[in-house]
Amino acid sequence: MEYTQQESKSEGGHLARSVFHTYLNFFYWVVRPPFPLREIFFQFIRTMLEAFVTIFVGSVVMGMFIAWIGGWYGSLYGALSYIGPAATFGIIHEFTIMLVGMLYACRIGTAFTVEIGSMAMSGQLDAQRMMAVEPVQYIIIPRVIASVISILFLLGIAHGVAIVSTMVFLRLWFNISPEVIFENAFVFLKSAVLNQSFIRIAIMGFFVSLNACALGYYFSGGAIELGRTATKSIVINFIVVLIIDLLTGMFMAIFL
Amino acid sequence: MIEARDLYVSFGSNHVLKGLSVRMEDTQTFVIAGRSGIGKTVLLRCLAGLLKPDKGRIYIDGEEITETTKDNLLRIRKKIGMLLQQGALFDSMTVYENVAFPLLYHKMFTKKEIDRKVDKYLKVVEMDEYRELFPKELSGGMKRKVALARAMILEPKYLFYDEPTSGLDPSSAGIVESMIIKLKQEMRITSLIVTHDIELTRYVGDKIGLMVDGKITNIERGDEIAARKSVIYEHFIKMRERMHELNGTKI
Repeated sequence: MEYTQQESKSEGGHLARSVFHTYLNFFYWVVRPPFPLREIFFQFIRTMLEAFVTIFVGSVVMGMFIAWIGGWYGSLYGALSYIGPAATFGIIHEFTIMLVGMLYACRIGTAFTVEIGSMAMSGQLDAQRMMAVEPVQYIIIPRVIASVISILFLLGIAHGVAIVSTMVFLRLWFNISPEVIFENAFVFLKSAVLNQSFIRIAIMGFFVSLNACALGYYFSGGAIELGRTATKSIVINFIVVLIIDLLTGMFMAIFL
Repeated sequence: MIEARDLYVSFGSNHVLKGLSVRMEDTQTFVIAGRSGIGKTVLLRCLAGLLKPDKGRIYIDGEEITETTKDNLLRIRKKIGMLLQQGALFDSMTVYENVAFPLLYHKMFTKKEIDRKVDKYLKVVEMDEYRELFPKELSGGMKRKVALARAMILEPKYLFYDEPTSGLDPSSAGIVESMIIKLKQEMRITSLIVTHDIELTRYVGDKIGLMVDGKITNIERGDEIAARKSVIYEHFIKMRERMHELNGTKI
């Protein structure tokens, strides 16, 4: 039988238990048939379409930010030749990972929480259970797997857009030619750095989407509580993104 | 047969079920009546395996469900259809997709067979003309009818109704009532209905249990309620009169 809020005495306890139970349920049901391939595909397309504009715009703005900082201080200290390598290394090693993780939590994570929460509120999850359909299999697993895949593509897009944006705005604002930027741009970049960025974002995609689904799945209450739960989803996932970024960054720097 | 023995459910300090026992025979329509907030839906959720009681046992066709595995529970639930309050249709799906959903998910039939079955059940609930509409385009009564078709599509042995007429105007409530009677007469489905609607109780119940203070206190036959010579009927009338007394209204 399902874990319900009646088993927890406090709100914090309910939050912790609901997330914990969702993780357990995810691993319990993911190895059991039927594997929801069709739903994963739909969720993949949906998450790509819904997150693309947000991440594209975020990456352009981030490129502008790096161009401004790099161009300003590069000009000030006569270090223009370092702008290219510093910008690309920073973008691929750190900035886009954090940006994509956070924007994904905002755009898709919150959507998952509210969507599943309103399904719980209107009895749609119970209706599925009564049709012998396990909602974890039909609702949560496709969203989590699709998120892990789509966030990889979104990171690839963010890498490209942020680098191009940096280059364009360095040219526009500081008249630094793309040749100068790209001369040594990829000197410090090894394939391992790129690979590690994809591993880190996949881990973020997994935790962000599963947390968001958990908060919606064990939701109980009305419209006001659903609003609060959506806020919790963003806050928790922001912190989770920061922690994962720190831990995976440290782990990979030390061991890989 | 469905049997609940000595069920206890509490939400914090709110004790909802207090040692409730009930037994439902096959092909019967059993109605559990009681005022709103007494715990009827909690009982129904326990019997459907959606909520685990704090204490007590539930048997469906002799199988105990409170301590069973998740896989086993899914298998047992295929025997039960449930009409939830407000219907709980999937907003993003059409009427056809809503009704076909369990068949498509379980991959039990070919596309042609699914079409045929969906048509059959949409005809039973007189909703075959509206198969391409979305739930937001339907009235409350129509939503219940579609939800009823969806609950029946897996051809369950038991059908649970959670307040099937609540929030409906008398004509829509009448339509839902007639659907329940039609299913009972034509398909001989064993039904469990929880309601505070005494009129519905009179029309559809073979046996009626009155739920008071977390227990079933009286069980009567449907014809006794229909003849208005029953403890349960008296209970509802007295309850209304008491409310008028408390509010100081003259009737």
